[in-house]
Amino acid sequence: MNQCLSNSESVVDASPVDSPPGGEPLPIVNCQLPIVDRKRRNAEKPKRRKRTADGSRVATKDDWEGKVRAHRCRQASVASILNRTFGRFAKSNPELWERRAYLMLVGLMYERLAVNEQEISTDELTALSKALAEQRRAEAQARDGSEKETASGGAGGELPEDFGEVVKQIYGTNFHAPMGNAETQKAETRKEAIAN
Amino acid sequence: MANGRDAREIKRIRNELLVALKVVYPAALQADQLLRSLLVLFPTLEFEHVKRDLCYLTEKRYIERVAADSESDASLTPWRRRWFRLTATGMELADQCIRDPALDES
Repeated sequence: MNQCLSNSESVVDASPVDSPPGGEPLPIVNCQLPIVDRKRRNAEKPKRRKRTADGSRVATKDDWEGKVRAHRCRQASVASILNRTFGRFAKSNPELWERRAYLMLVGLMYERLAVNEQEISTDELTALSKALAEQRRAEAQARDGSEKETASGGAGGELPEDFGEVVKQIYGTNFHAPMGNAETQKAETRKEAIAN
Repeated sequence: MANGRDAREIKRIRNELLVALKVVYPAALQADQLLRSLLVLFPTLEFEHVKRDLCYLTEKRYIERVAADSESDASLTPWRRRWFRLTATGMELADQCIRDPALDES
């Protein structure tokens, strides 16, 4: 969490100083894929039908455009929420994005499984599982990071009194006393080996 | 064709990366977060693909890596945890102020 916040802060520091004042909506509405100027058809020539027998190609394109439109709507919503929450050009909080994505996925799965009578497709199930796995992975990484921070900051973050104590904390033993123990352990191991 | 993806899909993914970063401009997103947001549109997308495209867009100077203060050695930061943001040129491209034939979808 702290790491994310500090990251965000460092990003904000990199933002231009002369950015426009807050309150304006993000220009997400214009976030559309580049529109390519296509060749104009000669009106005198009759329109030639494509001979492709598969209507799936057209359907796929429609599907893609629909998906992009839906994605743009979601992005516009996210942009407006971010704008309202943090203000224009203010720092973003990646933790909130992750939380939102998680809730969105859970909501989608609930809708599909409990409300919508249609069976969930394998592709959708794969996508959801993958996204959830990625989310879990991110959460686990974040948890590991915070645990490491806690562990390193243990004992109030105070340094040990002497060097021997430092060595003991790192290796579980120090240079002085456990030497005898190590010798004893070696001897015991030898005895056991002989006995066997 | 690269890694089983055709040119159109490659362009779409790269464009979507730019659009996602535009939403939070001038802030940044982690590669991991970009992957998760792109999975909505490209369910079969792998992180290696995203990594390649991030490298490509960085070399084209449309995006740049942001090293956080907490990264003592930026080269050791795992790819998934690296932060990226749009450059000014990348913003112009996302706003369609400029065009790049390599990213135009035909």
